[in-house]
Amino acid sequence: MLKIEDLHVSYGPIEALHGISIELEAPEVISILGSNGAGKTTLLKTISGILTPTKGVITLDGVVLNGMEPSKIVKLGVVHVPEGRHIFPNLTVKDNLILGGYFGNATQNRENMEFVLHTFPVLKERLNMKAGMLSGGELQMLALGRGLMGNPKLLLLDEPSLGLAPIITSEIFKTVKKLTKEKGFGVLLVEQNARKALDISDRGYVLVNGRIELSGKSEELKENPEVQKLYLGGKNVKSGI
Amino acid sequence: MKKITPIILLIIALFIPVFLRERPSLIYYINLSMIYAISAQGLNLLMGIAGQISLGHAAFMAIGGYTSAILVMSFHLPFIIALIGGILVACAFGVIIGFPALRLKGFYLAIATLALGNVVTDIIKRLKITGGDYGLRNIPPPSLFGFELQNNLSQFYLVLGCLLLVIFVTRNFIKSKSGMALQAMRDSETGARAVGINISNYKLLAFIVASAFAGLGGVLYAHSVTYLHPTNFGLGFSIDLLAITIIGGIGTLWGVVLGSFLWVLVRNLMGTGLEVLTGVLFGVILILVVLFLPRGLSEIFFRISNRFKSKEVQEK
Amino acid sequence: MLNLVFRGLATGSIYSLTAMGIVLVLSTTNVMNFAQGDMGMFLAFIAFALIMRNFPYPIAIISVVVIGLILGTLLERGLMSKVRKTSHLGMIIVTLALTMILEGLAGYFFGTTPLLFPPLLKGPPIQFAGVILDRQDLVSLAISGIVVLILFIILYRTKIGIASRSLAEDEYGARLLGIPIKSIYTFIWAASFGLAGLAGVMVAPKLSLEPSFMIVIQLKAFIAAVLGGMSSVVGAVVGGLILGVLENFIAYYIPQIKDSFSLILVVVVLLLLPEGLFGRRQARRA
Ligand SMILES: Nc1ncnc2c1ncn2[C@@H]1O[C@H](COP(=O)(O)OP(=O)(O)OP(=O)(O)O)[C@@H](O)[C@H]1O
Ligand SMILES: [Mg+2]
Repeated sequence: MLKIEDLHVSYGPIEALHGISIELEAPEVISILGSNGAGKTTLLKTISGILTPTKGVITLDGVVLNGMEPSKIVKLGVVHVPEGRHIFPNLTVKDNLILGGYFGNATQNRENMEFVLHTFPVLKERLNMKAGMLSGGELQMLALGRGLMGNPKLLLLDEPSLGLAPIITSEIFKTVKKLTKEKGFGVLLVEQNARKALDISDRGYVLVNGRIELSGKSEELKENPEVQKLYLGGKNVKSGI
Repeated sequence: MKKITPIILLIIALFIPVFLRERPSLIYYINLSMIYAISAQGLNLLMGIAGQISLGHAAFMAIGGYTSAILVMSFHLPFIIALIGGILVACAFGVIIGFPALRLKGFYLAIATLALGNVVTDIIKRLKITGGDYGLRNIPPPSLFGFELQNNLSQFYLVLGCLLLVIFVTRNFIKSKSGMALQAMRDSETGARAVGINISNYKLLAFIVASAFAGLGGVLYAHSVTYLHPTNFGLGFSIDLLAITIIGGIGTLWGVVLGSFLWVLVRNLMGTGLEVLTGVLFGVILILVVLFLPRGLSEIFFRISNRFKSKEVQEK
Repeated sequence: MLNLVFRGLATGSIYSLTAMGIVLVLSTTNVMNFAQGDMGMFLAFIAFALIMRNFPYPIAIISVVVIGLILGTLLERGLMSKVRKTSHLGMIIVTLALTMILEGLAGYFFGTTPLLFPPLLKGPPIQFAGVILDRQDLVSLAISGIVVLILFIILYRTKIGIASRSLAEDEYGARLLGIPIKSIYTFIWAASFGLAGLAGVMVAPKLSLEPSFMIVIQLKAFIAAVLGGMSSVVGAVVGGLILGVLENFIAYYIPQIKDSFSLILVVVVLLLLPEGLFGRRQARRA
């Protein structure tokens, strides 16, 4: 469904991604692992049209995405839940969700809203509160819920675990996995928390300095000594889940 | 080369009146331009260096001008005392207004200065000693060491001297510790705070120096135009000063001079009946500058002088 | 006493109309629009020209609002969208430049001698319960009420309104949701200049029509916006009404300070209550 070929992206004169190729077939969860500054966010921003590549092609079901306006890409079903969440703090939870469905029609949005509130019941209780009052975990749920309002075919999640307690991270990751099965969309999951990401993903790519160093099935990556050393903190550390 | 240019310019400047002996009115306009430049330099310091916006700058000119005119006319003090008095009173108001106002940021400061500027002109309108709504007329020309500077020509040298002084002070201010601190603050307030720079004191200092420049400009204005009226120092004039600063080149040393000359030129190029269009033309120029010349008209000069420099390098 | 209150409300409603336009732009684009008042002035002159050519009042008002919408669209598309990329201060400077241009054009085309703008509703003042109000005052009160209601519904109940409010908070976040930012900015500027036209026509009959007649109103509108906390149109309206009533009381009981009162008030409020009279706290950044 999503096909990225030889993607190069630069900030001014400095190239951040040096020829990346990734494929994703929904319903599939793919983790992108990498340390700080590896280029994970840059990759997602390029897919959602915030950045334009200097070289390479991104296609979604055969439609070329690069060069399109972000709003067009969203309409095609690529929804980006950004690093740091970017929730609107002075808008209510409800208004945040409504904006997630900016392009949907009324019936669609009503159904989606019901679905989101059913998936994250906390949000239902907080519906008319300002989003700025929510806790970190609730904010991430709101960010996810807002993404779901956009009827995604492909969900781009940038470090959803950032700043969250391990239990909450696990809970959110489980929900993501469940949703993928239920709704049949694809997920590109960018994470520094490699273990948890690999636990729910089908396949993974390891990004180092703007290049893909490794890729493969998640179970295989978990066993890979290199990955264990760099991202899983040694062989004997047990998974938190 | 770098040292010679200003000297040549200065010599040319000194001889301008000699060339224009036959056209005293032209000299009057040159004087006026320089007076605007002096006042606008304060705003330039405030905006370009300290990053603070003021919409009440003209009020400080009014304070300087009225103070000096009253000291000369009602208290019969010599001009030089009145001039210093005008500057000091403007500074005092700078402290009074700046102290609270500088706690505000961005457009809040703009509104506060706008409001306070209006308060000043309102008060001037109500007082007796200022001539109230009638204004002050027949303000005597400046006099120095017993000589009355009756004509525009003699005033030219006084105003030029003041302008050079103001530019000199600005230059040193920019390079001083306070100037550096302010520029750091303008670029990142939190950053400056983190380094432990006491922002409010430097802001206040900039505000006082800016008030002093406006006060000086006001004094010179009062005694060369010889007529003061509170409505001349309202929001409109404050915006004009702002436009002069930005068009000339915000944060540059000589930009205000360019801006002021252009302003006076535009105003007087307009034929009779078309004066109302000055604002239109100036507004359009202002927008063009915002769009294409972020460093104002000075940028054109930079570009030209850079071209010369690169030519010199090539010839070597 | 009651009379003072009602007359104050009528004056205040005039401030409110301009204040709403200012807050609408400020709360979504973070631009302090100094041209709001003068745009109203310019459009009031156009309305005046239409009325002098025997166009009926409603047609003149509607035309002026439509012209405002168009001018707002042109400003955003032609200028603001470009300046936004380079500097934020630049956008504010552009609004200042607009005041120079609009006042100059009005002076050129319509002259600087004050003109009398005919009242919207002719006839003697209306009396009830000891209150005497001009018909004009009733009109401006009613229009302000209607406008604030419409704006409230748009901003809080429609997608485009909610999206407008999100822009001021987090433009990047809005972009990721696919919100068409350019159209929203256009909508905001168009709406605020449409409002300016309405405000101009409401104020003009109360004052005399001349290029500088909106400057005072604009200043008062800023003050109203500050009182209302700068971030909500409802706050702006309430701020305007409170300012109008306070001013009327001051003018009645302490006439000596009536000119400077509101100016000093705003500085005090800015210093002591920077979030406005109602102290609406901003939620923390998520
Ligand atoms: N706006 C920018 N301008 C210039 N360089 C940038 C910009 N954003 C990111 N970079 C650079 O591009 C590279 C990749 O950054 P990116 O944000 O994609 O990393 P990341 O993998 O998401 O890191 P993190 O885990 O910290 O979020 C880094 O070297 C970074 O310094
Ligand atoms: Mg990142």
